[in-house]
Amino acid sequence: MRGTWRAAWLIAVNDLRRRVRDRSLLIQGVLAPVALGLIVGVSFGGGPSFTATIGVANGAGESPIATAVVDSLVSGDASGDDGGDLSFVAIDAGDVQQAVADGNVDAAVVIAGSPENAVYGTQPVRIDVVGSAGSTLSASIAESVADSIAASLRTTKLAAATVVNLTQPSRSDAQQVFVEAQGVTPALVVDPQDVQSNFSVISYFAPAMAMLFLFFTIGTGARSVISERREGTLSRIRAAPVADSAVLLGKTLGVVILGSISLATVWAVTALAFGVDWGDPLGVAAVLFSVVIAIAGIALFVTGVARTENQADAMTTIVALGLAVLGGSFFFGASGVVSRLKPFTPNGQALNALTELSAGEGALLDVLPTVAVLLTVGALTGAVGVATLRKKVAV
Amino acid sequence: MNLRHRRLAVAQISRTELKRYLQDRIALFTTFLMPVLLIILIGSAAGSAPDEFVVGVLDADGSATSEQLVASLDDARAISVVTYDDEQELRRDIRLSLLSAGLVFPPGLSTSVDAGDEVALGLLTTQADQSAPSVIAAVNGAVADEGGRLAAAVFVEQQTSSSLAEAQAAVDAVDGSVPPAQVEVSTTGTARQEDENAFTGAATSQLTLFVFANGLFAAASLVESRRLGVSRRALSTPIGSGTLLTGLAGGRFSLAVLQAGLLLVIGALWFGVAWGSPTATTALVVVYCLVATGAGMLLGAVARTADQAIAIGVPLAIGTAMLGGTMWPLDVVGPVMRVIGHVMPQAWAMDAWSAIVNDGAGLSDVALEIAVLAGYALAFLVAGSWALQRKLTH
Repeated sequence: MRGTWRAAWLIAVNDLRRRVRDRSLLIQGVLAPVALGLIVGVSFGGGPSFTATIGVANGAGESPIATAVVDSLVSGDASGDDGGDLSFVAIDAGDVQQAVADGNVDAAVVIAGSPENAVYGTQPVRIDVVGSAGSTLSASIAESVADSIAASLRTTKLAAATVVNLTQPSRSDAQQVFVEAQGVTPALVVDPQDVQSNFSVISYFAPAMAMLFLFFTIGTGARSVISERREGTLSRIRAAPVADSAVLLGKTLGVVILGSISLATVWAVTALAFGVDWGDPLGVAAVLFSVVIAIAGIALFVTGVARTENQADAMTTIVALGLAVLGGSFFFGASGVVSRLKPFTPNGQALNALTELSAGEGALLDVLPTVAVLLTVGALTGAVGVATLRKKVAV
Repeated sequence: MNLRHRRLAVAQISRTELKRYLQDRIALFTTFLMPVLLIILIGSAAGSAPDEFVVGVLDADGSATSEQLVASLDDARAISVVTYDDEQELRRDIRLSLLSAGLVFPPGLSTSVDAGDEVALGLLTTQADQSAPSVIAAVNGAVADEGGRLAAAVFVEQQTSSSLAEAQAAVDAVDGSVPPAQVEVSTTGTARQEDENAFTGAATSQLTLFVFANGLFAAASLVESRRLGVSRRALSTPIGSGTLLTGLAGGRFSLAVLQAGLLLVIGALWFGVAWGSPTATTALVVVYCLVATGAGMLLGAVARTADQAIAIGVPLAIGTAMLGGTMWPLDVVGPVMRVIGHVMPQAWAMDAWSAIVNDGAGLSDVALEIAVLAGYALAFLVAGSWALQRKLTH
């Protein structure tokens, strides 16, 4: 038994040495995942961005209320924020259509009817919203702003009219009530709070790409059984007192070590050089190791089933790219079909677990079920793969 | 060799190359199946332009008032509501940008509201998210009516001798007699095809991605022919290196045109994409296929082994696709990344596609994009042919 392990270890080390000399491994195993992760990180480093400029126009002529509403929006009082990403600009009521059509503003709000008639009289509040067909979200935001203005005018009306109804004051006192009611602000206020986040999309895409390339790296390792049989090296090994199980164990050990080194390097480089936080290190290590086992198992299975080296190559590529598409390796935050298919792929399972660790601030315990699933997938597919490869070694 | 023989030789080499490639199962998968699969997945997942903010709501109050607020939010045009039970999950999904924001209705919300207290609704966002002010405006608009009615009651309570309950009843009575506000929404311009048919964006982006990617993947077979000496043997015949290289390029170009053509047909028939001006579309496809052919020739000349061509080709295809705006539109990235993106030919092709399918652009409207792509094609083809010829003759 000790001899088998020793031989397996020697075969693994020899395979590793040969692969490390090949520059493809460095590109696929480390450089490409880190570079692709970085591209996504730089593209979306500032978070999703949506900016809108809403034009505000006074279409009510000399109305003091309309003037006050436009002024307060433009000066930023009503947005409840320092402005920046949602800004309001005053535009002329006659230029609204043109300003939206030309893209000078994304959408516009026009106070159309006289607000005084609505607050003091019985007319309805009238506000027009002009949006562009190319920017429906901006039009919706402008509509929300219009709703806020309308609600604010209605609040004034309700507050003042109810007091006047109940107290029946003199005309001048009633006017005073209306003036005071204009200062009434809504009882429900939105209080923006920051969700502390160290999450970086790099911690999603770097492992996603690394897992895709792992299929190729591990696939090449597994295929070496077939190529060595073709080249006759395998027969020479078998001529020595080395059991077939040692050869297969050595090959498997080689691909598992190779995959683990690749993923661990991607983790280390993104964490140390770019400060990406992947979350609880124990959890990350467990997920990365178990996904290597799962991918190694699948690669061995594919190689075992394939009849020729070319067939193994084709099947590995198709399985790798297919699982990458279905497992959400190319999309972040995917919804719909992709999110439903994702858990049925090993890379999707691992990505969900890694996300739980980084963005969800989970720990090892939270990802143990995923680790168990991945190890089981690896063990089952690997066992079938080794059994079929064993026949190939023996031939 | 006269011109006619030379043409025949080029056609023969091109045909053989195309046949060899089509016999390869990986090629068939990446050429046809994978792009179609991705068009379906991307197209059915979402449209290209967001038309509402997805806001997660955690209702820890569970009262009639809070349920009314959730319903008002869901009715707002700019917001679609997803309900949550666990704040940890809500925070995780905000960090992941799956949600634009999270709104928490605290326990005791209705009690506070009934007592006339001002209630703060915690709107959770990440600092990096620039859309926060827009989400705040949308939420404010949605809760303004409810909040205004409550504030009016508090004002009435202060101004008269009524209790809050009496004031609320009085406000409700007046509320019924005040005509509802008239907010009229109109739109100018016509909607982009990409916004109306989500498959349009998916089809143009996947066509752009996979024609270039396949051009790069085809480099592997070029390296293999070089390694096995097939190309050298062909050179020993009287066809000459120019004819051989034109034939090799012709095979790859035919494959690219075949792939693009099939995706155009599938896009039109299955996904209802209206491809716009036939002349502009044809010119774009032809020039872009030449870009992909040239890139593949160049990689085929530079890579030493077929494995190396794949090891470089796959990440290069994905990386340039990301930068060039075929995995996400360049509108959503910052100005620097948009400039860097336009170093990639894909970005120019995507600009041209957007103009053709969304704005009804004709050939003259996309002349700049096509000229830039022609420049890339020329540079790649010249560099690739020169490098290949050197490899074959030295």
